[in-house]
Amino acid sequence: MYLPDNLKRYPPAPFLLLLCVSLILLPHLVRIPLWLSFLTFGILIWRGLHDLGRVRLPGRFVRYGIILFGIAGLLFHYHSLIGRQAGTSLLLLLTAMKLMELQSRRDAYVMLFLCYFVVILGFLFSQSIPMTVYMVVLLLALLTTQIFYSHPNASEASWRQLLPHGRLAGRIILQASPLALALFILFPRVTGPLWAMPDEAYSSRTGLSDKMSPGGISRLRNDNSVAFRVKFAGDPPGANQLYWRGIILWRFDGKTWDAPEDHRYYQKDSLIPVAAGGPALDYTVTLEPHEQRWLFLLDTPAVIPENAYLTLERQLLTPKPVDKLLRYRASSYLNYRYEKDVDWRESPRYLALPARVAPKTHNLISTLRARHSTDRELVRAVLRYFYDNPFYYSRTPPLLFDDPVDEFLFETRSGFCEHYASSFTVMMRLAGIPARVVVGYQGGEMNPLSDYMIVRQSDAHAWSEVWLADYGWMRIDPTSVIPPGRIENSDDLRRRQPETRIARELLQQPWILKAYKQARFALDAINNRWNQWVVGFNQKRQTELFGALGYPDIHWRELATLLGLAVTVILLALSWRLFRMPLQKKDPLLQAYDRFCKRLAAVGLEKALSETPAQFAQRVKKHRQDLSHDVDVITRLYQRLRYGRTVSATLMRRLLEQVQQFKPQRHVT
Amino acid sequence: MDSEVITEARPLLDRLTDQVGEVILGKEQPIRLALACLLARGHLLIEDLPGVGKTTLAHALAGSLGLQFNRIQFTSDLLPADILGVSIFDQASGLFVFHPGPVFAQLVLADEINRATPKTQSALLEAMEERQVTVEGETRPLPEPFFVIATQNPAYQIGTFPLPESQLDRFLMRVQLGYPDSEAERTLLNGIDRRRMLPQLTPVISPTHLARLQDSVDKVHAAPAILDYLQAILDFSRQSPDIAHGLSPRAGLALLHAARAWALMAGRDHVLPDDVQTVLPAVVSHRLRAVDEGKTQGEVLARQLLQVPVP
Repeated sequence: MYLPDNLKRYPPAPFLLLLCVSLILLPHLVRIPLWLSFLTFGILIWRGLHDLGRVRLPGRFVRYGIILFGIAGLLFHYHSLIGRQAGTSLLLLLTAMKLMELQSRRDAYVMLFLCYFVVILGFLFSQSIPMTVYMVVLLLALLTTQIFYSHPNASEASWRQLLPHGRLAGRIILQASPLALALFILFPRVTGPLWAMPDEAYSSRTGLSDKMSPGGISRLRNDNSVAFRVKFAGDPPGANQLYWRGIILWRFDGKTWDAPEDHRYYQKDSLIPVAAGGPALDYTVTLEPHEQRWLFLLDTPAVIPENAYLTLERQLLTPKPVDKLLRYRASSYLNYRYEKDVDWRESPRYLALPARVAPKTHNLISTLRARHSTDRELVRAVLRYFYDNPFYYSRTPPLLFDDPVDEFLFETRSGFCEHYASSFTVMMRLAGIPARVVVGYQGGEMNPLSDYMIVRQSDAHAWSEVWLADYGWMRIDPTSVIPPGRIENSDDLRRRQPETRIARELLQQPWILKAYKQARFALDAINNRWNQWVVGFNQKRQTELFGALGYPDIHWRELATLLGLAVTVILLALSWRLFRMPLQKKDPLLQAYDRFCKRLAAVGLEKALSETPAQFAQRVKKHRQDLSHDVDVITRLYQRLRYGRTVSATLMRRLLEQVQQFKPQRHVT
Repeated sequence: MDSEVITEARPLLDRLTDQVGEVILGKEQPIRLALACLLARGHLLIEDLPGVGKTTLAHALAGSLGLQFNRIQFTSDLLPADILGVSIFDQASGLFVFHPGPVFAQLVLADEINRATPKTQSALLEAMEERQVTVEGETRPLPEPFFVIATQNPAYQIGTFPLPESQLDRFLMRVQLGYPDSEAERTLLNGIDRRRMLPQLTPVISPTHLARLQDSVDKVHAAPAILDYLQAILDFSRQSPDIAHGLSPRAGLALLHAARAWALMAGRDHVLPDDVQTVLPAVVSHRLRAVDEGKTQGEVLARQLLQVPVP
């Protein structure tokens, strides 16, 4: 194998270990703080130079110093060591630092097992197919490294063993895969806090959840995955009209908005009382499965899609969570005015606030109220307040702690739609105007290759609705008043549609275009399956799977029994193979001759153990003259190779070919 | 190894076998074994009843190989000096002059070795092992090549001193001639006296050539698989409940050398398991003693060893 000289001098086991750690760090580099990336890479380089005998490892005090510095840095950056980001960063820092105290083989083992654990961290951020493939590759690399280390004289290991060791690692993974599969399918899934991913992790996958706590998540995901696709019957509406209505959040506990299910607000009939200002727009939505019940329609729905309910809040729900691609026809009025329904000022539903919330904001509203008597004016005044004061739109706003509303409005003044919608709604309620938060998507981009619009998770948006006595519910988007000059990270927005832009330039010829489209659809389908059956394989799916197999309502105890059974069977099968296998691996020559003997045994000519190849050939020839040529050739080649003086690859190849072609028939004709 | 030596070895040795075979009829296998034994620098023990041609075989071999030949008839009153030689006072020169005994020949036929007393037997056997003779403090080398063919009557005959195992171990092979088959017997009865053919035998091979062939035996390749096989056989002999004492390391070496010689005779530069199997009975049967002595012969035990799986 060709390797640069420097690499040749590098002992393979430590090099591979270093490579594994680098590979583990790689996908996290963009997520962890920049200084931590540099720090870990510095550590890796230090270790590499040490392995080459150039530098010494740092002393104990330097090591402690780096650790303390790193932890302090993380605390400063994240204000915590707990949570997905901070926890991952901490683990990565510690993993890298472990390299600084690697001395003996035992240390290497500890390091390897640590690595096996740390590999999993990647899944906290992405559960996609490429990530999984990457993890399997990592696992392979780690196993190979471990095989290198477990070799009795690891220090004398040579790079030539890379391939055999790698192959062995691959075989180990293959052997383990049935066990992994059985565990995956059969391990009882329990719904409950134990198995739930933290909300934070969840939000990275689906754009929306039925809770909203502004300030809790300090970084809005740039999740480019598709939320749904829309095909319009006519021309698509303008961007400022693309408000995809989803969930109505009306209850606020001071930090979090949510919407407990309230059956009183289910609409009985399918009529929507709306005063339309134009014809309805027809379109078809293809919704990606999001495991929730709500549907997304343009504000405001005109006709209820089939099999959907409408609540009094004009929220559309399906009877079951959407667990597969759902296609529905819909139509909406873009210019509308809700007909007046109840006087919501009399009901606490859209006015209730926790006691002592946002005192500063309360004062502000009181002053504004004194100046503006009508509700309409007050709304305008509040929007004006956002515009006049230095409010910024930022996708990475600072965290909010005690009172998100006050802190946002008077201190940080930097946030994204959730912050604005939440604060605005609270301000309205403080002023006695019924208000609620609407979560959905805003915008969408036409696919230039096709005639449909793609709405992505990154288009997730939140806005407000206020109830005015002389108008009814009115949509207010407080985020939209922030002037473009005060939008930070605007390149985020430009990055949203990468593939379409590249595609437009590259795909000029129609056949490429067609192939590309097909490939994309195929990929889309694969991804969908993956999400449904692997990532989203929860208790419900498990029950469904066993229901389809004829065991409805399978209990977790039965699952556990099945699991134990499957694991036992698989382990028995594997150990049976292990016991049957000769201790030493047979060389290909013996394997080839064995195959030759087995084929003869199949036609009733079994080689006795004490028979020499020549004697066996003699006997075979006596019984089967038709085989005598082949048997002679194979026996002669085998004897030359096994007992002869020289090793010849050519002869070996010839023997393999001959044995391959040697297929004795049972009966002589 | 020179492929030349290999290629020329086979026809030469075939011719040798044929020539000896003309004298000893229908005994190709023992003749070949005897030749292999000679090539492997071993000594040969022929054990059989009187009159089956033991002595004739030795004569024929000597004649065909062009070796200087001496015959010692062992009797119960034979003394070591009768074999090794004595120093006799020469009155003319006034010195003791060594008169070499019959052992100083390239091919020595020790006829009916089990008739002599153990003391005399061991004198010959030591000479065989060391390939030199020490008489009166002076060491004299024996000629090269030095090949002893000893014949022995089966031990149950009256008036014999059977060779102890330690002595038997020094013979590379023991072969049995046995009765000729009916066809050979008929030819024998029809034809002239075989002994009269002996003086007419012309050497097929020169002693130097023979030495070269002996050298090339050591260079015949024994693959690891063959050594595995040999070890398996040795292990088997040591663990078998039927065998009193397993084969010695010397026996293992003997087996290897004999197999190499056999391979050379077949014109091959490497040993096959078949070679081992062919020489195995001749090499090991006189070294094996059964636990239930008397019932089981070495040959039967040797046949057991042939059941060892070939790796």
